[in-house]
Amino acid sequence: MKVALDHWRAETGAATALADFERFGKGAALEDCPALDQIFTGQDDAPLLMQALMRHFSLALADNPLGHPPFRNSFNGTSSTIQLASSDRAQLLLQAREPGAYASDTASYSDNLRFDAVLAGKAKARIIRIHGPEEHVGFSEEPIALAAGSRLGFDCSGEMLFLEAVEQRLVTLRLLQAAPEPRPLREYCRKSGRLLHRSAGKLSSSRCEMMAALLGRMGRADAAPVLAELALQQGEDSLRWQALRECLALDTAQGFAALLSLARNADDPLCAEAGALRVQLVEAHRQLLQLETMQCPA
Amino acid sequence: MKLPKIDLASLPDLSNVTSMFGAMRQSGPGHDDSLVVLMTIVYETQPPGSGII
Repeated sequence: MKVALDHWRAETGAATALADFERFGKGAALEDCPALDQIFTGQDDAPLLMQALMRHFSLALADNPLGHPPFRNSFNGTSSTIQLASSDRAQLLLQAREPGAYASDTASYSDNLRFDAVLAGKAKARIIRIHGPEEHVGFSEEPIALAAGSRLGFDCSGEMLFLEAVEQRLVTLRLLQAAPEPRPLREYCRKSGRLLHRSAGKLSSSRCEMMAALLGRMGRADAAPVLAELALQQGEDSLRWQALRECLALDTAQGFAALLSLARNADDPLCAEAGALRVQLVEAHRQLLQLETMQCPA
Repeated sequence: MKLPKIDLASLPDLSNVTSMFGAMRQSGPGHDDSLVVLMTIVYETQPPGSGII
């Protein structure tokens, strides 16, 4: 299986596309990656790339019927996904959607760029665009028919593709590029436009948040400086706030110093919430006012 | 100066609570299109001739 993968990657079309893919993962625009651009805007290259993949792996599977192609994969009953490549912020995926009718009351948006090359199948879909303030959006919808040869590009922060009716299994080669500092994923009610749910935009944010919680539960006061640093540096608000909470609980002085820094920085998105927490803490613990006076930059 | 110990439970969460990465309000086909992250899958591979196959 490894040999089949190496041979596929070494083929001329795949090798140049994967070289482009590395640059795309570092943030290059699609139009600056000619081989990749050709796959997702032209008609011929995407099928050729996948035919080469199938050729190598069909032979490998014939020789090793119990072999596993070395790709991460998933199947949830309606969608199957194979991750063909991943580099920095980019992913190349092969996705199939089973025939059937689909419905959803919500629409989700994340800070990704997405390019789809439909390889096979037939489906009716709807592009759902949002506009307006983040907490409450309006929708505009555009019906679209998908078939082999369809090429689409989306800014997923304001557009999503919803597959409503898949007549024949829809197979799509998909390219994703995440934003360098993605906002949380937003999920809206399609009827009211109300924001229903937010989840972290980066896997690493949630991982750090869990680490911070663990350090807190372990009572590791020696981690307070790291948590204070985490609270003050750039990153997702949720992670920074949880780091601040854990820091305050582990080491009052260090946590309160970090809280004051946030509350005094009007440009920080956490400034208002930090200011409110400062007031709450000072009211509850008068000693903190004394500490604040001692730490006052003036 | 003797400082108070602050109880974590007394510290509020942000007003716009954000759940963990990948958390969904409800699972459904509307969610798999904009964000794809696959967890590492651990499986056994046995090269031919290793004694099992």
